[in-house]
Amino acid sequence: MKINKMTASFGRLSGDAIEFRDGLNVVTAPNESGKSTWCAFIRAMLYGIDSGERAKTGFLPDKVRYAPWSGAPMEGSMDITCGGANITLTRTSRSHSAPMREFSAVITGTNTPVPGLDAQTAGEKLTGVSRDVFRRSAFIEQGALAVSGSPELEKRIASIVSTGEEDTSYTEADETLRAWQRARRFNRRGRLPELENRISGEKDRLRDMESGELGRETLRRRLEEASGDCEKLESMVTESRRQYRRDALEKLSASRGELERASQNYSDLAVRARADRAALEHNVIGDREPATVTQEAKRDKARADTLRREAEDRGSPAGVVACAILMAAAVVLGILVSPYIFAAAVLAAAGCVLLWMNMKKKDAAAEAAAEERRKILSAYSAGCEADIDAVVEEFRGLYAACMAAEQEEADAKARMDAAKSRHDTLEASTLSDLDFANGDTEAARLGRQLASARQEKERLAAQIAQTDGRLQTMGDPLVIKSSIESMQSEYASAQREYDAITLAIDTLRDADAEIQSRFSPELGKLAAEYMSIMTGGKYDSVLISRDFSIRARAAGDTVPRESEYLSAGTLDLMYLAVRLAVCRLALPEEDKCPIILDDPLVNFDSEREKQAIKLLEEIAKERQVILFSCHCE
Amino acid sequence: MSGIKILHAADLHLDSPFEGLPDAKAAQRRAEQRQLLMRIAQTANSEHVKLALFSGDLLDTGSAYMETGESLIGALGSIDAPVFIAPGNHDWYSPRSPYARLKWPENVTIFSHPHIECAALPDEKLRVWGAGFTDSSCPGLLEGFEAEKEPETIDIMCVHGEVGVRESAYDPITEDEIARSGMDYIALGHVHKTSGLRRAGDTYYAWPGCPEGRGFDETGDKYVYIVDVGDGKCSLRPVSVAQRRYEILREDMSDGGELAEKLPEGTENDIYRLILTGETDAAPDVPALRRALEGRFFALEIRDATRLRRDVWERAGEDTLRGLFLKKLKAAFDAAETDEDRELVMSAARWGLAALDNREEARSDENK
Repeated sequence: MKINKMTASFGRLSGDAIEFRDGLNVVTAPNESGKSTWCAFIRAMLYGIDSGERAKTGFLPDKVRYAPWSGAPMEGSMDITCGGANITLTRTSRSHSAPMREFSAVITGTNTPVPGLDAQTAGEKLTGVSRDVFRRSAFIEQGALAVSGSPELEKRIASIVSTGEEDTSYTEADETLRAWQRARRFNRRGRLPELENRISGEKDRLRDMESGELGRETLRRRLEEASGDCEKLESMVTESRRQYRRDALEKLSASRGELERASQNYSDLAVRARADRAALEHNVIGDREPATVTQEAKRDKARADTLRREAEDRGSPAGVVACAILMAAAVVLGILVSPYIFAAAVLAAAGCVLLWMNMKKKDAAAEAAAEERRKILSAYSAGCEADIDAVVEEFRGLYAACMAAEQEEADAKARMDAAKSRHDTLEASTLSDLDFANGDTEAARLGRQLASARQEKERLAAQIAQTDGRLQTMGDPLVIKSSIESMQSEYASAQREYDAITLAIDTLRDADAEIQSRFSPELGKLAAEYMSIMTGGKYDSVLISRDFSIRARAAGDTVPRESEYLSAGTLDLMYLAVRLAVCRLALPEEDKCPIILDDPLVNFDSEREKQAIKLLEEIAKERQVILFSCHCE
Repeated sequence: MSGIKILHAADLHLDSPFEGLPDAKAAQRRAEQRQLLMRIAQTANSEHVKLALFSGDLLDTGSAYMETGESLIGALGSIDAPVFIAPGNHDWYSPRSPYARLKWPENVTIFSHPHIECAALPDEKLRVWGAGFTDSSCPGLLEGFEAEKEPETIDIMCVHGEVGVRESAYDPITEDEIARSGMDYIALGHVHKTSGLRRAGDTYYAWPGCPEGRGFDETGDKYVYIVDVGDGKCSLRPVSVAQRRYEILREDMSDGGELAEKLPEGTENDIYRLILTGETDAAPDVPALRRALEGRFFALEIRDATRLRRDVWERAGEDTLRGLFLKKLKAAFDAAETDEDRELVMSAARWGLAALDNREEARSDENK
């Protein structure tokens, strides 16, 4: 295929046209005159514009970058000769968002469409390679001289050196295999580690369950023991409490009998004391101090004695009678004898009165004494003085009896009180003895033991229930074991797959190395040839590896130089050599497509540039070469 | 002396994991295991047996889980006949074993000594002899044993052991010992495949195998035995109590026919391992096959044992990346010494070709 003529409304080109001939075409033009735009146009005409590209920092998609400055729609035509036919390709835009989408291919000068060409596949059909391979081989853009690999280019290069199909790419197949391998194991990720984790997790779970089961067994045994302890303690507690109650009842009832007896005794004595006191109080003397009473009685008795005597001392009427007789005698004499004797009668009368009056006074005194004596005696209810002693004697008897009874009552009360206090004490101590919760008796101690044994039993039961619950939530061990087994079989099968994939990867790498050992020298040899031409024999060896990293060796050197060590000019030159070699080896032999170069020689010195042009001229004998350059020659 | 009827079961291996079942199905099987125990008990009751004998390995390990113990006790307790258990090499008797730890129903007798004992049942004119393993292995228990015959009495023995394997570590028993034992019937356990009725001298003996498969090493129908013995005669009837069967099926995939059409019908309750064989271009899409067969089996395990079609290797001659890859693997295949290595190389070839052909990964979700 070769390009004859192009007309473009593309970027800065506004209906511009350019024509090419066979062989080497050098388009010399100053900067900014549209050389790169023409290059891009060629690509766009062949492969169309990828309208899916999006702008990002440092990158403008073609649909934006090459939108016509005039604002007209992006379009153009290209006359080519391909397979002996002259064809006119036309691409126009119906919308800005899908530029160059409308495509037609006709026999030049006619409207006869060329069958088999369409917007998508035209480029590949005409050049024989995909857009990808075209960009990496025949289409040498400015600043993109470096050679890079793509699976497709790789297939092409592989097929250069092998005789068979070109449908396999090592890189792709290797990548696929590695993805499959990674899906199984990649460091700690992938199916195998995942299964390892799950299996070990399930095994841990199973171990937990087994130890849980064992723990439960132990707990059960301990529960049984605790239940036995409880039963034993229960009967001990019951027995000991019964004993304590019996003892307490016996002691209490004895003490109560004693108290009852004391209280009966006291009440008997109290009755007696009350009777004795009543008798004393009914006594004529009453409840008085015996000593005083004795003293008073003694005094009263003496006084009564005196009074009795005083009462007996009454006035005698004899004097009065004598005086009266005397008077009567005197009167008689006076009548008889002299009146003078009447004086004696008066004297006798006066004497008589005096004597009577005296007798009367004496009688009154005796009467008073008798009265006083009577009073004294009646106070004792005595008839005579001698009775007083008897009365006092009786009083003293009563008094003594009363005192004795009261003393006895007081004693009995004290005894009763003592018995009551003893009983109370006993009752309290018995109560505390019968307090089996807090006391310190054997029964209480056993009771506490029982309580703690019961607590232990409850604790164990709760613990068992908890373990049961935990075990239940952990699932069924048999199911877990089955699942482990099934995972282990899956693990084994995944491991077999992993091993097989690993073997496949290794074998494929070996196979590829073998191919590479064949194609690298071939490509390198041709590139070295080209490089030697352009450098005037300075570099005579180029080594290319699979990833298209390239080293060049100067003639006479033993060690090849990495591209980083080469000067910019030499590096460009080396890349150009490899590119041209790739074109020669990887592009279809039939109807060779043109090589498009956008100013690859800028860094070359004039001598090398001259040599490069000479090489391109040489190549252009076989295929069209279009070189855009800003150099004036 | 009239005959008596016995239920004879062995090797239940309770608590051993179920093979080839995902979680949910394993949980379902666990529930069914309880039903299996109940079905054995019901069979004993509906057959009106006079004795139920369990000849060892009832449990898979000495550390039976609570639930298993409870199910077992519930089932055995519901049997209306005396039950005898002779512990085996998996569930050997020890003070820590469930046989010692759990409270067993009154009708259950466990032989706990490693020598033959007699448990007389005088009313029935019946003597039951037996012994139990007390370790994971056991020397011959019947060596030198001879029961003194009593008239009108049936002698039955229940023991775990292996007949005719002299070097066995699990109570090796010889036919001579059986013939001399004086027993009418010896109920054995240990071997998981059913024996059928056998006879040595005047003594009949048998082992029923496991009553329900628990893995792909126990495929096919499984039974317990109902044995009628007495008057010098013995007859035996296998009774199926299993709900699930394990089966292994090999299917040749070479002809590319529809797999679903080749498989047997009526397998909804069964657990199948399907081994795909033959020569194919690409590895079979196991997940897709599994999806297509879903519902036809209780559980299905698919194993790919297909081989790369011979002509695929032929491309090993091509001078391409693919060709070189196959050539190197072919060399490795030819040099491989074991089937396992050959399988690995074959599998690597398949993976590599799938990657070179940009095919999807076919087996990524297997077993998930």
